[in-house]
Amino acid sequence: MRERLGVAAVVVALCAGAAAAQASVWEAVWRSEDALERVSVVGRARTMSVAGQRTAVARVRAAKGKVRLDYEAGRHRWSLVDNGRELIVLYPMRQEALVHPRPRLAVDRKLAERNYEARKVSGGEVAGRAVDAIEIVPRGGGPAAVRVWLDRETGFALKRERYNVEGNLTTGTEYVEVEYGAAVPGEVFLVPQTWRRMPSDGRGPRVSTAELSRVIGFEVKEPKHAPPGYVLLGGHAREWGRGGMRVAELRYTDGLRVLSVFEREKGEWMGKGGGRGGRHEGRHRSGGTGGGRGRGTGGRHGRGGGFGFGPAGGEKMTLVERGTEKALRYLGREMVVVVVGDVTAEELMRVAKSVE
Amino acid sequence: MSKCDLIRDRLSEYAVGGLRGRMRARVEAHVGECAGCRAELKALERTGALLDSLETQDAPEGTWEAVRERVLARPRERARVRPRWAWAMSTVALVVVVAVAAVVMVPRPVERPVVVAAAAADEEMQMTMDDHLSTVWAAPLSDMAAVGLRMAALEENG
Amino acid sequence: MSEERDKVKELVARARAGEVDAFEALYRAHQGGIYTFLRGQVRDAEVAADLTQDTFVRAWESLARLREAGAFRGWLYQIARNLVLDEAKSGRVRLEVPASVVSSEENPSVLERATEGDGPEERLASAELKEEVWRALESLPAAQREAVVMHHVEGMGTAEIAKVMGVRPGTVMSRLARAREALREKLGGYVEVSDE
Repeated sequence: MRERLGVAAVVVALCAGAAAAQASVWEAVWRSEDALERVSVVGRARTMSVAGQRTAVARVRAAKGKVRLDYEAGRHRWSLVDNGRELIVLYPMRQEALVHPRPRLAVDRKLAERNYEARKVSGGEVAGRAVDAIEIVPRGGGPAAVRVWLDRETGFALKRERYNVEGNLTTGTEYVEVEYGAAVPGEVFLVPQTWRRMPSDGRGPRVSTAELSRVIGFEVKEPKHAPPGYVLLGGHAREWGRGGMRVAELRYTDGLRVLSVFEREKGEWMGKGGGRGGRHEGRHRSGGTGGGRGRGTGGRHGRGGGFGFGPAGGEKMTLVERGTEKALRYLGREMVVVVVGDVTAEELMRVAKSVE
Repeated sequence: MSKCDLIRDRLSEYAVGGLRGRMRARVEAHVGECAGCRAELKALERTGALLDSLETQDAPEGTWEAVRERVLARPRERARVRPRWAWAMSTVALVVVVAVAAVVMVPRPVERPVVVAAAAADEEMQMTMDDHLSTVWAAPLSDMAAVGLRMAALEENG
Repeated sequence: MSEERDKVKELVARARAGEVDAFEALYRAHQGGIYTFLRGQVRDAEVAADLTQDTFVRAWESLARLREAGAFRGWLYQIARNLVLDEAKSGRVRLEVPASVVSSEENPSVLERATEGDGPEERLASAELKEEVWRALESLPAAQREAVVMHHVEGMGTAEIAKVMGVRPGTVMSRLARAREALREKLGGYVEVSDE
């Protein structure tokens, strides 16, 4: 009996130890997320997107939670600034700045810890610094979502790889040079005074779904199905284009990945003032060209519109895969729903169809 | 929003002949009394005139010869003429085959999305994906440098 | 008008029966429009020439299934359009162009030079200016570009374009309006009238 108790105690102790180790790995991950609040960073990083088949070298300057990246890719130059309030894309050739409000995601870190396991896998060296490699894996099974290599001394992430749900590498960034504690002048996080500022389409504050319905003028419905582990973060009212197309955006997260659900009323896409007009595209099923030559060109050519060009041009469901995320548009009875995220196409369909 | 702003939003639609009824009358009335909007409408109309002045360009020489060669080289579907009874027989046979196939092979219709390449995605799909990407930027453990790479790529495409 | 329509019907009927000469007449009548349309979409003369060939070969092959001979033109544009989409899907052509490629900030544009001294007639006639208008067109989204070329260059009505694109005429109209707006902005000082 005593022996048994002893074994149990050892097991409990081991489990507790494992849990503690887990917690400390997650702690290291979160510490790396906050590293820029503590230390300024100047460096150069190679970055690539498998999805967009693009690579670039970026000069990084970061301090007090603000980041500036100056990219060089072939003959293209552009910069990206996150100053905490705005997300700005700077185009030096055109002297133009595209200014987006910086999205705020109040993600509960415990949610990520519930859905994913963080484990230390190995050590090594990146940009001449000793690092620890950490892998973040879904607890429900499946391939790793993220791998990060953290500077042993500062906790800063010097290398990062993201994988999609299918386990394919989608993006990666690795520092080749890094210097901590250097002075970064505040103006690098601003748009130069003489440049043209182009604000992006507005995004309202985060509100509840009920409030969103009130603001937006139609009933916004939460999908009855969300992918396992995902919770609703909140909704935003959007106005797109000069005609003010009204779109409701609901954001979900599993702590690491995000899922966006866009809803609008059926009608002319971006039609000026007609976004909510009476013309309904649902009945407009574009099989071929209508009229006498509906099947004129046979299977291959009789497809008509709605396969890429005409927004909501009649296809019941349209799927676009961009490597990292997929987007699915579903034409419901009264609503058009677009779901975007890094989940399987089947999940996207389930979410989209569960709205109405 | 001032009256001019409201009218200007509809001017291009007016210029292409896309406005009817009251809205059309409103635009016309306003343009009649507002020099600024009148000038803007003229600019839009001149743009239209410029577009109308564009001409088609001929395909490079030799294109017809190439088409002809290919056309003569391959067999082609013809509207075949067959006796009536043959039509009737083949229609019956087809109906039977389709009916059997429907029962045996297709237990339930499965709804499938039409897959579209990212490059050919329409404006709505592009906008929602771009928007999603700016959200991803702020997500935990996002690879900001790579997201920025993609955001700029998208901006350029836009 | 209807005389021309009848002529097309007759040519289609003869081509259907296997007369290559009749098909050649159809080719002669439509090659310019199709090539221009394709060039506008794929922005590459060589690819456009290849696709022009493909369009007519496909048309020949499936002529038997064209039910309404009078709708030949729209049907031909639909074939061309689908070929473009196939190319885009397979990644061989890009329909949307990065803004940096079409911006002409490195060299002063014809537009800037044109506004300096020429009278409006001279400006309208300028081949260089037309070139510039084409360039401005190239920067539009593909859906607007195709509507503009079919409407302004080929002279098709919105109903016919709508059939080709598989959308409603209202959608074509709004694409034309948005294109007009964007082009007006791009063509800037040139289309502005000061003598109001």
